[in-house]
Amino acid sequence: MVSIDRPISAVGGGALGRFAVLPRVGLGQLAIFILVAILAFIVLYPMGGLLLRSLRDPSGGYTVAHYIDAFSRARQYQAYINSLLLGVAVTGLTLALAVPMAWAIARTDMPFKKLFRTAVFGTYIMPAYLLAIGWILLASPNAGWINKLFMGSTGVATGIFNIYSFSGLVLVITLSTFPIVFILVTAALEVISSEMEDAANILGAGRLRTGWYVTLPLVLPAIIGASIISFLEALSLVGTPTLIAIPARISVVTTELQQFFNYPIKVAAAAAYCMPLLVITILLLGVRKLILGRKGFVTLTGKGAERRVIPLGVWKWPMVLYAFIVVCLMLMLPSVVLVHAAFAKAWFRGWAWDNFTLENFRYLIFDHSSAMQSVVNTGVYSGTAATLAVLLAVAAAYVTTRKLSRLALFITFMCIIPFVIPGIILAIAIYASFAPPPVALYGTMTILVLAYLIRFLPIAFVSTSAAIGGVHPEMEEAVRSLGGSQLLAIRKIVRPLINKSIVAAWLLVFIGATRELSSAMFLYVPQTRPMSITLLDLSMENQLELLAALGFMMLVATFVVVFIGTRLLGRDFMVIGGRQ
Amino acid sequence: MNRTQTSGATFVLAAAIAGWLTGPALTQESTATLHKAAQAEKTLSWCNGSLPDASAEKVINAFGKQYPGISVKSLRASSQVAYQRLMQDLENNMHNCDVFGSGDGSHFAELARRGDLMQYTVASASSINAQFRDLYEPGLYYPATTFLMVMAYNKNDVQAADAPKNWSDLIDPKWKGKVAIAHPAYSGNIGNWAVYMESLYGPEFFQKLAKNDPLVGRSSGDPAAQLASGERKIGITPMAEILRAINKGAPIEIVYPSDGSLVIVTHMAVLKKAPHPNAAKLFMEFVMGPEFGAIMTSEGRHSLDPAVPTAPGVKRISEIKAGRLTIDQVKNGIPPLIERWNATFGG
Repeated sequence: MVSIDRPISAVGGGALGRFAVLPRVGLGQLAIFILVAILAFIVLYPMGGLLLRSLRDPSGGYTVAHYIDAFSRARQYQAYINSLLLGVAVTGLTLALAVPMAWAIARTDMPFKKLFRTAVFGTYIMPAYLLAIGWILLASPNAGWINKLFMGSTGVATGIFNIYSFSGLVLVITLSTFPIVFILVTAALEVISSEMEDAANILGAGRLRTGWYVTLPLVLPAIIGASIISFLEALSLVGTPTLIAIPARISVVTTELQQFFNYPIKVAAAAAYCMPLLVITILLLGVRKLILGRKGFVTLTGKGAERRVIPLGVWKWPMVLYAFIVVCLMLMLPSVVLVHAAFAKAWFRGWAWDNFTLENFRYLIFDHSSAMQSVVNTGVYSGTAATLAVLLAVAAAYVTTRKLSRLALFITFMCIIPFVIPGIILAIAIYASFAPPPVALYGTMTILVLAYLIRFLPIAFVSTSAAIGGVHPEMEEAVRSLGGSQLLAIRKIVRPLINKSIVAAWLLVFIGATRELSSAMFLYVPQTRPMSITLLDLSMENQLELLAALGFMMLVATFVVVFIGTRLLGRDFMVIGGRQ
Repeated sequence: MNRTQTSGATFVLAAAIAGWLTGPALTQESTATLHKAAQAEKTLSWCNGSLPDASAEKVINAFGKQYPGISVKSLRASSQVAYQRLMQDLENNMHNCDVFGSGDGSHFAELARRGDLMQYTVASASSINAQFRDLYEPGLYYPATTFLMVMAYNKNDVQAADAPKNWSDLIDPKWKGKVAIAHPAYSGNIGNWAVYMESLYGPEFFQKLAKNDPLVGRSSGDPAAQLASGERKIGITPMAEILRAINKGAPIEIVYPSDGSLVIVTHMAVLKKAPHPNAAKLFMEFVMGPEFGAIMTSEGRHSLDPAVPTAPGVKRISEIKAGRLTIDQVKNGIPPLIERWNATFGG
C-alpha cells in the first residue's frame, strides 16, 4: 500500500500514479512549488524586508542606529511594558469568561444555546472600534449612561467606572477578543466524542472533575492557540487604544508606532521598534510547541462516534445567568447605546422623542463625501481577500497536514506567522516593500487586498487545518488502496467533509477584514479608504452620532451576509472543523 | 428663522458688501476664464485640515452656487493627520490633494521650503492689510480663516460666580478631573494654543495641567462636545465650535480669558502638482474672497479686516484682550512642543 507519509519525491511518480505519463516533476510538486513561491512573496518578502530595513543605513551598510533612534525615549520603553501588561490581562480575562461559556454551550444541556451563539457571533462582526465607542457612551466618567445612572441614584459625585483607564482598556479589548476565543474553544469541544467522558464517569468522576481532567486537556491546543491569539490581538489593536488609551494617557506600542509616520516618515526606525514585539511572538510560538509537543489530537475517525450532552441539573440556571451577563456586557449594552446614537440628534440628550432623527443616515448616504464609497471599498476588498485567502489556505493546509512536502514546516510557518504580526507592523512592512517601485502598489486597491489577505490567511489556514486534521488519513488511504489517486481522495473524501469549514473560513476572513483597521494604516488613499478608517475619522471630529449610524449600516450589511451564509451552511455553521 | 439666524444673515450680507467694496478682486473676464478651465477639470480635492465638516459643507455649497460645474470633495481630518497623509502621498509621488488647509502654519513653511506649493498669487487676497504680512507668504500660502481660541464652561454644572476667568484656571486644582482639552499632536489649532500657553506661563504650565487630569481629545472640536454632553465642566475651544453647540441647545457659556484670547490664523495653499490646478486656483480665489469670509464670520469667526462685523454674541478683537502668534513662532514652536507634551502627558 502506498504510504502518503513519505515525501512525494521519494515515491517518484508513484504518489500520483494516474499521472505517470507526465515528467518526473509531478503536478503535485509543481503546485506545491507555486504555493511556496506565493507564500514566500507575500509573507517572507515584506517581513524580511522590514528586518533588513531596520538594519540598513542609507548608504547600504549595516547599522544599529535605527534601533537606538527607536528606543531613545523612556516613553517608548513604557509603551512596551504597557502593551505586555495589557496582553496578559486581556488573555486572562478572556479565558476566564470564554472557556466556561464554551464548555456550557458545546457540552452541556444549557438552554438558549442558539441565542447565545448568535449573540457571540454578532459581537465578532462588530469592529473592536465600535465596541469601544459604545463603551465610551456607557462609561465616560461623567456623562456615560452607567455613571449617570449610578450618580443619579446614589447621589455620589463621581461615577462608578471610568472607561478612560487601564481596566477600561482591558475590558473593551477583552470584549473584542472574546468571540474568537469562544469560537475556537467551542469548535474543539464540539468534536470530542463522549467516549472518554463516559469512561471517566464510569470510573466515578463527577461533571466537574471530568470536565477539568478529561475534557479540558483534550482541548488544550485550542485553548493555548486561542490564548496566543488573544494576547496578540491585545497588542495589535490600533483603534481602541487611540480612542481610550490616549485620553487615559497610556501609551502602547501601536500608538507609539504611529508617531514614526509623522513627517518626516521614519520607516527604518518604525521597523526597528517593531522587532522586539516579533521576538516576543516567536517566543510564544515556541512555548506553544513545548507544551503541545507531539500529542495526538485526532478525534474524528472513520468510525462513528457519539456526542452526548452533559446534564447540568441544578447548575442550569446559574449558567444561563452567567452567559446572559457576559452577553449583556459584550453585545447588548454597547449595541443599545450605539443604535440609540445612530438615530439621535445628540446622544447625551437621552431617549426623548424630540431627539429622534434620520438625519445621520441621510447625511452619510447623500452628503458625506466618502462614506458610501468607503462602504463599497470595504465590501469589495474584504470579499476578494477572503476568496484568495481560502484558496491559499486550503492548499497549504492539505499539504502540511498530510505532510506532502519537506517544506511542510516552512509552509505552516508562513501561513501562521502573519497572525502573530500586529496589523500595524504588517502595514508598515507592506508599505515599505510593496508601496514604492518596483512593485509600486501605493494607492491601489491591490495593496489593501494584499494586506487583508496576509493578515487573515492564518485564520483561514488554522480553521481548514483543524478540519483536515480532524479527518484521519485512513479514509484517503482506503481510497488509495483501492487504486484511486490522491487527487481523487481529495475531491471525493476530504473536500465534502471540510466543505462547511471552507465556507465558514471564508466568512471569518470576510468579517475579519470588514472590521480591520490596523492593517489598513498607511496603505489607503482617499479613493481606496476603507470603512474602518472613515469610522476613525468620524470619531476624531467627535461626530459620534454619524459614527454610530455608519456602524449600524455596516453591521446590518454584514448580518445579511452572515444570515445568507447560515442558511447555506445549515445549523452547524459555527462549528469549525466539526462533524458534518 | 429665529432671531439669531436673521441677524446672522444680515451680518453675512453686510460683511459681503463691505468686503466686495473694499478690495479689488479678480476681473470679471479672468474669473470667467478660470471658471471655464476649472469646469473642464470637473472636480476638486480639498484636503481639509482646518474646517469642521459642517462649515466645509456650507463653503462647498456656496462655492457651487457661485461657480457651478465643479464638485468639491472635502477630505476632512485634523491638521496633523491631514498633514501626515499629505506628506505620505508626496513621499510616494502620489498627488491626491489640490488644496491643503491646516491650523498649523509650520506645515506651510515646510511645504514651501520643499517646493511643494504652487506659485500663484491670489488676486482677491490683495486687500489684506499690510500689518498681517507676517502671517503668510503671498504667492505660496494664504490666511484662510481667523478665529478666537477661548474657554467655555457648562452652566448647568458651574455657577457663574465660580466660573473660570482665565487660562490659569485650567491648572487650578479645584477643576481637577473636570477639564477638557485636546492633543497638539493631532490638532494644529491646539498646537497654536499650546505654544501660546508656553509663551504666557512657561513649560511648567503643562506639568500642572497634566496633574489636573484633563480629558484629551484629538481635535479642537472635541472639548466643546465634551462640555455639551456634560462629561467635563470647563474647556478650551474655538469660538465657532462653541457657537455651534450653543445653537444646538447646549448649556455652555463663553469665557474670554483675562490674559488674552488667542487669535489663530489657519492657512490654505494650492499644491504644486495638484491634479486639478485651475479648480484649485478658483477655489483659492473664492476662499480669499468676501463670500467665504462672510460664511466664516457668520459662524463666529473673525475677519482680518477689523471693519468687518462679528456675529451676534461674539466680541470684536478690539473689544477684548487678545494675543496672536507670528508664523515664525508657530513654525518653530509647534514641533518641539509636541515632543514635550508627549513626555509630560505620557501619551
